[in-house]
Amino acid sequence: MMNRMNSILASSASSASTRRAATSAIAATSSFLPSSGLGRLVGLGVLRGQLASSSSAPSASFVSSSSSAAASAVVYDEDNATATVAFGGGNDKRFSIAGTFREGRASYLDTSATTPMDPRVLDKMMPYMIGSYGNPHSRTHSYGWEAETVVESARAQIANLIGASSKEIIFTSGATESNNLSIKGAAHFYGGGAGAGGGGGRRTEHKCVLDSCRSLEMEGYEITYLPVQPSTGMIDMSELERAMRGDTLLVSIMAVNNEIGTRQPIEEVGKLCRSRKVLFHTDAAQMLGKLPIDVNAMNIDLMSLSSHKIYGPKGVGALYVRRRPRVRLEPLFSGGGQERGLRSGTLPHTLCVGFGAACELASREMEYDTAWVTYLSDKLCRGIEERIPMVIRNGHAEMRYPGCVNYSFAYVEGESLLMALKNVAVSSGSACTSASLEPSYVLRALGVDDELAHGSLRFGIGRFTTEEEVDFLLDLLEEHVTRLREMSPLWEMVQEGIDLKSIQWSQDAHHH
Amino acid sequence: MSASNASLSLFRSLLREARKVDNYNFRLYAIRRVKIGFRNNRGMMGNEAEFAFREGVEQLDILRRQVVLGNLYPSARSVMEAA
Repeated sequence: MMNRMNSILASSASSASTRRAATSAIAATSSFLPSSGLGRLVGLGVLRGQLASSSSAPSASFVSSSSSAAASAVVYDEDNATATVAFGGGNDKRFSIAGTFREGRASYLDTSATTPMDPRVLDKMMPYMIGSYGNPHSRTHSYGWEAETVVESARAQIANLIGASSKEIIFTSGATESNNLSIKGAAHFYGGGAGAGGGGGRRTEHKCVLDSCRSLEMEGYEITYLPVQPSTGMIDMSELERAMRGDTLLVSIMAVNNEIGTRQPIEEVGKLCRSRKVLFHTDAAQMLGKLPIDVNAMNIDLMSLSSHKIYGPKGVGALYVRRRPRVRLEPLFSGGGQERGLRSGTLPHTLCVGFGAACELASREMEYDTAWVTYLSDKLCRGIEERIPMVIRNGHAEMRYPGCVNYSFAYVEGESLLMALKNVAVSSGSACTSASLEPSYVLRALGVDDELAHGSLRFGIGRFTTEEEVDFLLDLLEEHVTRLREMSPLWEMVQEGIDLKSIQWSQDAHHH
Repeated sequence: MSASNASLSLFRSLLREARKVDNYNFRLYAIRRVKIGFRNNRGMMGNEAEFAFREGVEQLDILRRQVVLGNLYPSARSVMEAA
């Protein structure tokens, strides 16, 4: 058994010298930007961190002792500045994972992506999928009246959870639509059309927020993307203040990040925006029902909510739109003028009932759920840090939602680790971007090295997660991270104490 | 006297139903939640106790229905159940 180094929390500062977070605010100043009179949206943008080129340190020269446990021998030739790896033994079955998987459906640990529908929520929805099928907008018969009644009570349940009034809740198809509606809607209403002012988002915002901002940029709005603090992902309040100008229209900040769990100081941001008369939009999809929200105490003007993140049905969400002082939006859909004219279309009253029931349940269960999730999250984090060396937790240490845990495993390739963790359903990077091979943009915004970003996993703990599942995950992680590292010549070198950045690879030698 | 008997009987009924839930995660949650719910409400008196009792009965009905539904549409066996 290879000796394991003591648990080292290698912070990303170890390679800080080779990394410099560039702070270039992306401001789209186009020639057709009109002069005064048009607002500007200030967003927390994504700063594109520039990875500074690694230093050209002298090449190392050594021969690693090939212990019987190692899978390979690494030989370094100083004169020619080459490193060769000879893999031992053709059919090395020691690292095979064939047949090591248990039978059965994977244990679900991806609650940031979605959550199962609570049976109590399903119970409330059932009648509306059988006999009570009226259109809530039908005014003339009891089918319609019945449906409308339940929609309104669902609206009240959602409003109660966030400290708002029912009149301020608009049902949408989900947080993505709510984000689009609030950002584009506010920009178009207050900005007066093409070529209008500015806005912004942080670099770690959800894709739909970033893309909405980008589409506004194409229309001529000026968006400022603000940096987040490295490795924690927190917004810098002074940066935000500096970025806000006289014509700033809207600030958009995600309340709890879906990849790293960092919770932003939205009360402070709200206060700042209120003092500068700037609209404050927040995407609270990951925060709703898990951490307390009060739209008045937090000075929130627009808030996106999602049902399927709090054990409700998929396909419905809501947008909170403040009425005092009134916030106006230009609707995305034209149609019958439902939802105060802001969102035309027949309401899926079944889903609305589910969303409302989920919210009510969340407010009743919040204390117990928080205690359970915190307990499991602490167990998981402690377990990982005690049993596996060289891991880094991404995100802020204190200001976080405990149910979203993101760890980078150094010297382990993320895809291989995911494949080994077949019995557990986790994700690396957010679901929205998992189709591409790009490393998570959130982690890159944090300044995490690309290799570390690729070796990151996100674990989601929720109401229905069991302690046995967490124990199982810990056992699997320890086993497979160790196995993958034992296969890795890079790991061997690290064990020997070699700084990988100091090696001159032959490719670089040719380029010089 | 009869009140505490009724609570005990309610507790046992809830636990019995909870153990019949088909889905692994929901089942363990239901068992856990019933136990915690009764533990936290221990020592409740009067109106509060009555209210909690009525809520418990309501939850029992919901649980019964969902047990039936879950058995009509069974979930796949979890890897945790194989052990």
